[in-house]
Amino acid sequence: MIPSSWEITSRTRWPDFYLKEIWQYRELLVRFVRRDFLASHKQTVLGSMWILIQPLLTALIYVVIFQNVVGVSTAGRPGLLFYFGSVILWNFFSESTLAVSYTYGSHAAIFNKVYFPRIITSVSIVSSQLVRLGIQFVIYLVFFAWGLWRDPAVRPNGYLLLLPVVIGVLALMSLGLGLIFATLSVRYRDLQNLLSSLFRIWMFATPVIYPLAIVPARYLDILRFNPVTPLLEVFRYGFLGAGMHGSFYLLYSLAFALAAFVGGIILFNLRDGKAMDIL
Amino acid sequence: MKHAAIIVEDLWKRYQLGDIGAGNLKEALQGWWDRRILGKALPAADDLTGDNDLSGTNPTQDFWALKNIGFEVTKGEVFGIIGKNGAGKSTLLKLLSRISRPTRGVIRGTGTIASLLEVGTGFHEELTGRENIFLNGNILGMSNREIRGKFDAIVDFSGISKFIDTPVKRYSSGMYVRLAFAVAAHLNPDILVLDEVLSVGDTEFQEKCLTAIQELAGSGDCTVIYVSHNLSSVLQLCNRAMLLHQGQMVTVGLPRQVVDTYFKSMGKLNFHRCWENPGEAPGNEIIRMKKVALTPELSGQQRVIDVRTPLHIHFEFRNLSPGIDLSVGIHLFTGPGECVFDVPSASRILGEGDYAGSCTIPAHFLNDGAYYISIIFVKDTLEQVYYLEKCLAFEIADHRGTIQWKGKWMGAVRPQFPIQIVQKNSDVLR
Repeated sequence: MIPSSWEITSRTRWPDFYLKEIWQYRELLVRFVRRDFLASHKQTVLGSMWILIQPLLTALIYVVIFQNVVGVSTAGRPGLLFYFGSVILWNFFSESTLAVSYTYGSHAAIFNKVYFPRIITSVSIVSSQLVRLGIQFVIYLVFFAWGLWRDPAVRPNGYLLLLPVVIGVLALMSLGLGLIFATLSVRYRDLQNLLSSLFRIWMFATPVIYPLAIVPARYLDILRFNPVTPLLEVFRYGFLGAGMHGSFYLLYSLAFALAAFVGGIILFNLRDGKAMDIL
Repeated sequence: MKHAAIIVEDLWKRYQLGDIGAGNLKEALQGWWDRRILGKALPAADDLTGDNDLSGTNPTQDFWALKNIGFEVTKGEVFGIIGKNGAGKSTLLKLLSRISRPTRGVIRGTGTIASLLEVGTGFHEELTGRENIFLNGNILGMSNREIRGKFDAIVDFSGISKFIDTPVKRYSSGMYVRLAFAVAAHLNPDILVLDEVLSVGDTEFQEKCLTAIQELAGSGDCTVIYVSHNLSSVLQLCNRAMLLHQGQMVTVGLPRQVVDTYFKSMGKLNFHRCWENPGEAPGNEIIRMKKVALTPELSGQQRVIDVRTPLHIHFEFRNLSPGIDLSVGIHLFTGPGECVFDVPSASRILGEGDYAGSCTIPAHFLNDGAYYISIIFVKDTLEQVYYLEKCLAFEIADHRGTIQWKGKWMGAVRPQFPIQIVQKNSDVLR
């Protein structure tokens, strides 16, 4: 192999979306995903079962409190099925975004000692969350099969084929937003405190624990301004037959995700060279 | 044909001082409001779009960590970088290893580069030794195939094969460092950037590291850039060296010459201090310092203080308190701050005026290493009246002569008390 030449200057390269570099460092990317899985459940009795138990518990609590005590509608579909699907999708989005936002903090020790494209850690975070979502989704399918068998109200349709699009758009959006937050919080640490509260509020402004259909008309437009809303609704429509879907809103989500992704990559790329001087 | 592995041209690095890291949103928004909306001119605060502009910034907020650095390293060479703390060594390493970007200038290189600024980067406490070898190897730029191929050699080198499937948080710090360095020692890049990794671990392990680096460097394929405080290792390993001082290159050349220059520049700074103006001199209403000096008695060709060198300590002060019963003590500390000795002078009554004192640390007394000296002034052999802390600092190099052992000589002192060995009975011989 002929040794390749390289150059380090002050200039910031126009982003090429790192595809070449991500490919070059793919083994490191996979290694980080493995590390996250291996490390997160060591010394626990139930091990990686926690990936399933956590959203299940959350969904059960929602069933008890929101469906049974408060009496929030689940659009006539089984509560567990309704909540579990929303919870795993929302958790995927919020946990990926938050973890990417903290990437400089959580990886400062490595970033300070060795070079690899910084984007790798962010992509690996979203990838591990994707794997978690995949595992959780298998359980969702079990509930779904049970719902199909026992409850005539569960009426899946062709929209369920949009599932990869829904997940892809969510992934793109969390990577983009996460990179924007990560870049800004290098300089403005305040943001890190703000973010967890922001996501808690954001969850209530997203139809996670209620169907969009019960929202009064005057708030509907506000909720639809939220790019996560159409994704959850179309997901529930596809699998359960209950949800307000519309291609316009779905395209809006897609456009938002693309804008966040491109913006995030550009901003991250612009500031990355300086980030390590500030941290 | 020899060609350059790394070319550094006109390299500058600026850091901003002040509370740059602790920025908060309110100030930024306020600043943006003032600048963009109210049109006020503010002291240059770097905005979000990142400017690399060298002009028009407030000079008081800037600190140039590197100024106009330019050098070339030939393929296969071991290039040393020395200098005091804050000379810019670490900054240069960070630029070479792409952790931070230069403000101006360019670094060109050919071939794969790996940097080893610490051992065990990215090690995860919860993971086992085996998993960490792969994680750390990938982080340092090795491929899975490469690591698998070298796995047994890495485990062998570390000497902890029994614990390879134990989480590293159960390791002793020694085991941890061994495993970490074992991975690093099996890196095989075209260019290796090395920080003072040798300063970790016990002396036996340091020897092992040094040997590993020597093997790597001796192969002729690998170009090494090595930064260290440990001058003897620089002399031992490097073909060429560079001395940095306050962000600037002082000299580049043969390690011997560069180390000499370094010692000379240290001499100016630490061996001799003179206060012409009594107003600025350290002291109080009783004692005013005038001068402290350390003069090594170097013999013949010798340029560097080593264990054979007698050291003369000389100090001058003014006594402002007539009739005081004064004794002066010399405290000698090792670099890490352990006191080696505390030697007081005889107490005597002094009139007002200038006094001088001196003392000699004989040859073959101190061990190799860094030392510093403080001077204490005591009244009535009881009460401290003034303490001049860390006024002289120096380093003593090793000299082994015919002794073949190369490990670190223990102890703060290395006196040559004669040890006689006599034969007690001669029966055995019959």
